[in-house]
Amino acid sequence: MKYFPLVWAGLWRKPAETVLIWLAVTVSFALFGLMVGLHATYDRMIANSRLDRLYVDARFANVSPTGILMPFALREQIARVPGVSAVGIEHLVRGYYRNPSLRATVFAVDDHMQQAWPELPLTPTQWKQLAATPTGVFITRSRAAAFGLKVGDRLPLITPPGTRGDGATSWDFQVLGITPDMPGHELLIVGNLGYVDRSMPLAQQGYAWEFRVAVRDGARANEISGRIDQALANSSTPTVTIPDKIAEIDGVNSVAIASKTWPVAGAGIFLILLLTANGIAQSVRERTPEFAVLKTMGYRHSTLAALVLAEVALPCVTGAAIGLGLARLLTRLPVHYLPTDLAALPQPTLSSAIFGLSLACALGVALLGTIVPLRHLRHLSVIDALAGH
Amino acid sequence: MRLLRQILVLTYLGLLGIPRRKWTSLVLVGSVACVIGVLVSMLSVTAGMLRAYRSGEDPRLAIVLGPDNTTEWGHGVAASAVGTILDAPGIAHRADGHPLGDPEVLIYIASTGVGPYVSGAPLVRGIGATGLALHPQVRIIAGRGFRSGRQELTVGAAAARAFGLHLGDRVSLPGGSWPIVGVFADDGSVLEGEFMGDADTLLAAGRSSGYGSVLVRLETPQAFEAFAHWIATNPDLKETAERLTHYSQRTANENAAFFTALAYTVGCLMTLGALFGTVKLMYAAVSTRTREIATLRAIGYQPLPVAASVLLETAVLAIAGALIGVGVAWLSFDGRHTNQARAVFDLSVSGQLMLLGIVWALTLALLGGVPPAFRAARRSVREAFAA
Repeated sequence: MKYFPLVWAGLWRKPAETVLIWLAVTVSFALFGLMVGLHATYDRMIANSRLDRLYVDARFANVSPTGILMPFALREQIARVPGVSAVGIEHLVRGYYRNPSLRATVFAVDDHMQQAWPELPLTPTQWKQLAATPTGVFITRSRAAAFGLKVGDRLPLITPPGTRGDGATSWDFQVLGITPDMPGHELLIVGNLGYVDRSMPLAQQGYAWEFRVAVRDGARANEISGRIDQALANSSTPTVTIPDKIAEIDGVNSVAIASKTWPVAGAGIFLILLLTANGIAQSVRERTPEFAVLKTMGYRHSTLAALVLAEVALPCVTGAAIGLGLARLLTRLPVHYLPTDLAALPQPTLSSAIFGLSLACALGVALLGTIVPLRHLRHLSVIDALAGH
Repeated sequence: MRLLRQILVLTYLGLLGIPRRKWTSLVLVGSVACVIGVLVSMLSVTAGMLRAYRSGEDPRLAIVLGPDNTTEWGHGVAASAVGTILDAPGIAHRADGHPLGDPEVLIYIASTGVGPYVSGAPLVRGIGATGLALHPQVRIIAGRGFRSGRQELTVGAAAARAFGLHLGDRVSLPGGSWPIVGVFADDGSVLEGEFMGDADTLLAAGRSSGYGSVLVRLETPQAFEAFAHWIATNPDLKETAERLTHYSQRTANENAAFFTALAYTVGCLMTLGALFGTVKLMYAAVSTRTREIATLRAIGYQPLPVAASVLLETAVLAIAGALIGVGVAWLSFDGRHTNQARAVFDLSVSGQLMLLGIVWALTLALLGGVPPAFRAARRSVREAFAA
């Protein structure tokens, strides 16, 4: 600690250049944090997905104006495929609450979903409550916070004309309870399939948007997917069945940025490595006589090395910490402040592990940056340096 | 004139001194190369998409879209409207008198059903008997073309490569599995990433009617205004006409909007970091030249040429960095196949994109060079010698 004034004086020898390097470090680490955080989000999406859950979708959902939809009756056929333990039906109601920027989707599910998708954050009592209350919905804590809703509140959802059979444009849902957040489905709203189906135009009743299937053995997921599709291949509604994990991996790989987060983060770090290494090398060279005096006074090489390292590490580490803080602030920005084209980007995860990694990278940059100046100092001839050569 | 000569002399001296300041200069070149390399690499997605959509375009082509629809998706163009549209003035005719126009339908399928499940599948484009005359670049490179009225497909070369499809594979489509009877090339356009089949057979198999669009070739590019006006004012039609070049560019930009926005966001953040770095580096370069600049000022050189020479030196270094960045991006990404946003295409580091990289680097250099240039020019001679 007693050397701190020395380090401090070294830093402020040229204030403008120190501040500029520090700003460059801060910005680069903000970008680093966002990119590595994005990578962590994609990794978590894949890690949270499961091989023993399958989605069954209509294979030709888009070939005609209404699509070739899957009747509820397919549930029984899918449930008979060996290895399947449960099949739940899901339908979606997409609309908005209060104004079009508050978009929301209600996942209307039947009671088989309790077995087919046990990760849904509803307790057995809540499942009974949902089955008993047609207009009831359960919302996650994040959703409740986003919409400012509490238990017992009404949640009118506005949908395009033609969504409801009675011609109304609003669904009058009621909040039965608030559930913990579900990883990957932070804004989930669970509703009652029976009510949603009965409220739709007659011609559209009795059709599932998607089936969710639980299988007993995840290792057989691909084989069972193939069997389900085979069983329904010659039906009026051929299906395409995809294990949850494979869908998630495909989804992540199809985003151009997913494979580029590390190269971009790396380019930013390389940029500041160049800058800091150059800055400290120049500074040490210019201060050769000063270091010679310190050596003459009996400072050991290790002490000088520590001084130089501290002088580089201080702006690097504080810049990284503040840059990460900035990145965190950016991810907390409400979506509507972002460019609309970026709304599809998932939120970067800025965990303490990533914070630690960034600080380690900042220290690494400082260490690498001091290699050349330290070599210079080690071979410093005190007599020549003092003589001004 | 004297000013210009002074600027040239000073810039020459500055550039001569670069070997003495080689590390500072190399760092500036390297950081600009990082920024421009990342920016140009990311934008190669957008440039590739634009190139694929605009490839082989003919200014005489026009597309008619369904009511309240700005895309060729859906089934909004009724069969009854197609005949009316083909009666419009300005449409070119074949030798047999048949108008050069054809309805098309675009169908999305979740999976081809060939081999193990892979993410996505090529789009299926249904075209009619006149269709191929409207896509003159389409060449069959293996097998044969599909026949009207038969449940069979041809596949674009890019789609075949991206999804591992071969001649003879059977694709799961409504009404059964359709064989691939041919492979076609289309000069690298977005069509090469699709299946092609008979529109009416596709609609019948999907128990559907209604096309997505009508493609027509006009007699001259100038005939478009009258054609569009005729469509817009015909009381029987709710469809709208658009030049195909315009439609393609709009669609490519919409599909690439996410990547474009991301590239510019990342590029701006990196540029900001590099900008601080540039100011720092040029401050350092100027301060090592304090005595040299003071001497020149003492023998009568003006402050303005001093400032201009610092800016020019920054610009030269930044351009060198930009060229390295663009070069690395070109070597690693140009022509690489990709499969994104329901389109299969090659990434492209186009001439326009290279120019963007160089202009971007120049802007960075000018912004970053101004404060050091000011410092170099404003320092009094006496003060500089005393330093």
